[in-house]
Amino acid sequence: MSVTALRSTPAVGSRVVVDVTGAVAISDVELVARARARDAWAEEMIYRRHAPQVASVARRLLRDPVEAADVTQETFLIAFQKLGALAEPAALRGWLARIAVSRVHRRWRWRKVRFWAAAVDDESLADVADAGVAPDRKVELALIDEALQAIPVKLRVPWVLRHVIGYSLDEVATACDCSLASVKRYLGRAEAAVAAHTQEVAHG
Amino acid sequence: MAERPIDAELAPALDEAELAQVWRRVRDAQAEHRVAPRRWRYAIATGVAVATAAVLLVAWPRGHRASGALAGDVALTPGAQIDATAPRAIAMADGSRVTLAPEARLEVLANEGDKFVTAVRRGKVGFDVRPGGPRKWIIETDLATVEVVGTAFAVERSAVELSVTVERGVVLVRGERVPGRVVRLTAGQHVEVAAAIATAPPPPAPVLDRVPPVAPAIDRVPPPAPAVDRAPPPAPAVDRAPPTAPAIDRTPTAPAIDRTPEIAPPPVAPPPVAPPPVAPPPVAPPVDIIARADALVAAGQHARAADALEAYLADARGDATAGLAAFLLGRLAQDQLAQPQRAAEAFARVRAIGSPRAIQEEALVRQARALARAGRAADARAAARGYLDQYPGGARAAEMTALLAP
Repeated sequence: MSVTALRSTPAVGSRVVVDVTGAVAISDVELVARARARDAWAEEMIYRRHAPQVASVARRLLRDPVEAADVTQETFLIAFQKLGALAEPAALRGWLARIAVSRVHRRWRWRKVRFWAAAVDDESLADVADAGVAPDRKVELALIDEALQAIPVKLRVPWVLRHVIGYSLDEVATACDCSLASVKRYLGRAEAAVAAHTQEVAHG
Repeated sequence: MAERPIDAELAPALDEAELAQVWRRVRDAQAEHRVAPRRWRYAIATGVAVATAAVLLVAWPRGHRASGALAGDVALTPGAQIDATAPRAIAMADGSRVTLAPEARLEVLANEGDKFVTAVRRGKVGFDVRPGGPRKWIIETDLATVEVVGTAFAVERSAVELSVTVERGVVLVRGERVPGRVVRLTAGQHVEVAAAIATAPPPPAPVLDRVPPVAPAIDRVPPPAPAVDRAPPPAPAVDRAPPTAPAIDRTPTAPAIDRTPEIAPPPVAPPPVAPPPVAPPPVAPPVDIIARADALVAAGQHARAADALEAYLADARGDATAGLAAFLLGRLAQDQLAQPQRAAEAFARVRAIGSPRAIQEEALVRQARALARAGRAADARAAARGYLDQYPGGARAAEMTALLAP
């Protein structure tokens, strides 16, 4: 039998891991298929793989860590319930973002109703910058944040997904439930607004 | 606009502990949902169940009521152990075949209508599973789990490693030490997963009965319990000692074979009146600290595990075990204890020791992360630069490049 040797990172503690190529990590497609068959391990793998990004979507949009955790939980509960409806398992990442964004919209609607009853955290990008971020970059983040808060949600959400989280244009379109052309249009307007604000402040 | 997402410059939206907590909430909510369905669904399900039971009681022949298990030409009841002194083949009723090499041992863990779970305790066992069968075949070993529906493959558990070779079809191999925790093997591929470092017991030698028992740690580490139900992957951590390894002298690659001469006594036995030879100073067997930390982690006592590793490292030599202990300490400090400074120092120790080589790259990545998290931005950048110099095409190059950004 011919044995194909492949390279991959050895796991901790492994002294000899014969290189294993071609032994690719399990794809989202396969994980989805297994999760649909109620494979608990596959569900957990999906969560571990995508939860950090879903949490980022929720927190950067809602600006509140507690609500972000709630939205992350809701997103995966809904996802596992509706996994059978996912037409393109390869697009799992964007689909999860879409659920998360819809839950975020729902929270925003509730905030309007109960704004007087409970205060929510409102953390800016500069507030949550990592400790190693330089002070001048923090100033830039604060300016970007100001600009984002001044533009409509319809423009803000695509910008955050694209430039804060790092989704592809296709994924942004999926997450926002709109066409690619619309996403490009929204992003263009949002980018112009952010640039205008930062330049305006920078040049007095 | 910068290509790098801004998120890379921000604190994680939820840290590991919060993500784990959310996952528990998801699991709990799912269980609640599944256990307590809506009332009308419950009523329908009850009706269907009663009707089905009535039909089965009337129509199903008695002899079939407890069937569904896979039959073979030997007993395949759960708990059955099958040993081979010579090559041995077992034919299953569904057309599958299991072939045991001499000295192999197989144990049946579960045998039900939808799954057949066995454990390869030692030696080489070949599986030729009939495709399209109703059962999921799961082969457990202490190092990994192999899952298959229809294929032919071999599993070999030697004293020092696990080897899975696929002849046809596809199998999944999962385990903490499997690269990436899970690999998908297709025909012609194989993977070898090593047991823990320094856990191979010394070979039996006639001199050992006069040497204080310094290294039989394997006796103190019970072999892992057979896992019938697939549990979620074990906590990140810590290497488990391999089970007893009677096959060591049959394994040509066993590294321990070369060790004995170091402590071999002179060829002439001491006279009976002479005082007994002075025993070497008691040296903590290397596997002890790893096994002890493993046990503490399994018990959820992460701080105590870290303290034990640190105490061991205070006097440890710079060998592979010390490197592994330092790495485990770093992981505990970084992932469980939120002590980035301590983690950074531990990973620096791994780098200083330089062994085991297999974890050096990961240690450097983790050191850079820990330094960044500890607020030591300049040191983090230096570590990231070191990584890029040493591993220019490394898997973490993008992340390290991001750390270099001012």
